[in-house]
Amino acid sequence: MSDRATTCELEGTEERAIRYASGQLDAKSGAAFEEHLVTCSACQEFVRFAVALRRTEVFRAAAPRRNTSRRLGSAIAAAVLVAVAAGLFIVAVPLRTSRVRALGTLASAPVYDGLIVRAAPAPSDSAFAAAMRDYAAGRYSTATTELDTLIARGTAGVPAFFFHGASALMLNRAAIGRDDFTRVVDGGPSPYAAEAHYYRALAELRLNDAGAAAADLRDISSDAAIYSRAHDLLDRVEALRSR
Amino acid sequence: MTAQLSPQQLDTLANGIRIIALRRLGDADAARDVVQETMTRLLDALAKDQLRDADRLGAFVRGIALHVIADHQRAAARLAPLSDDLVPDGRIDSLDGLVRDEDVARLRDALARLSETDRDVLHLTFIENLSPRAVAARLREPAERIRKRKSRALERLRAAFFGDGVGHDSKPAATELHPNRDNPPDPAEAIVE
Repeated sequence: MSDRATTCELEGTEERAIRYASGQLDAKSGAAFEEHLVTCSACQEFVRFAVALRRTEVFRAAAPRRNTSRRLGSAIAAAVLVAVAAGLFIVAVPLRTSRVRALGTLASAPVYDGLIVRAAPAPSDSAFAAAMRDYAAGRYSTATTELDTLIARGTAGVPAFFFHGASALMLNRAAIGRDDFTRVVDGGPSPYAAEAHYYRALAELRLNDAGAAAADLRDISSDAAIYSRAHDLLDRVEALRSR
Repeated sequence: MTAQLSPQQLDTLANGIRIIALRRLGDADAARDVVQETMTRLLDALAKDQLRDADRLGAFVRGIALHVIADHQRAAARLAPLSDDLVPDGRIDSLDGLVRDEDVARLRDALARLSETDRDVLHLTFIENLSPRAVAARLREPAERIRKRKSRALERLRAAFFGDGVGHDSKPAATELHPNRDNPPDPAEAIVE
């Protein structure tokens, strides 16, 4: 190890470092990366590189600009269309984007009611309870740290992923929240499944993915407690998408 | 098994803990406290032979760090219960202090020299989090070309950021935490593994 930049012997660490610095790794991948990071000077340098990359305005502003038609029949038509398209792009796209993201706003965190769904206590229960105490007190970062430990140990159940995702949403880490709720949804039927669809939809809206959010909201059954909220939100999402 | 952590290994662990702490606390002073406390607990734990598997050093250190961070957050919450919203709370910009403005400026220059398409590839990959296939569809280029663009662009940026220091192999500290056969550690200074 040295103070100089180095390469890491593992594959893909540079990309993982970039995703880590951007808050885009889910809890499990983030834990695995941190376990490696703490002993690897090369990856620590990659994280610095990733942070610098994220701080560059050029990188932030480098949005795709590919959909403008390049093959118009006449130069005049092209000029007019490009001018109109440019105007619409400048005004409408950011406006629509900000409205979509605004729909993903979460005013208050999903409530943890302390419902005991397990017949016999498991070793991870006390750690989960500690995390939930912090969660209920609004200490989402602390709760996340504690749930990270459970997840890294492999002892996390569906509720841990659900509230890890909820904490991520409250901390404005939509990509992590989306991945956590995906684990809950993919885990099959559970008391958390319908709400996981709803909160994943909020995360997707924050990520400006209205189509995925609408699909999630449609998946919520009419007998779910959260159905009416989901239905209202779906109406607003569809209204924005149809504009 | 007895082994000694070299000053460089200790530096690496401390730097790693600092990144983890900064990521969650967003405060350089608090991160420094976490590093000190974690290193103290780590050395104590190693002296008590609590690390059974040297390959698990990273997980071991991270586990201690997370406990120290949680303690710190609880203490901060007790001291200032009404200021919870003002705590940076693990925002992604909490790591910004890791780099200097001149590092960012150098990288910015390198980015400006990339083609617009290469910048788009990086943006779509790392900001919009799209897969190479999705990026390829968006930019209407073959996926393989997108992968090459990304690899080449990152290589150029890396060279601009690190200068000539790229390319030295490095093994994680855990793999070096083995008995030093050429220079056996002084038992009085050895850290029990």
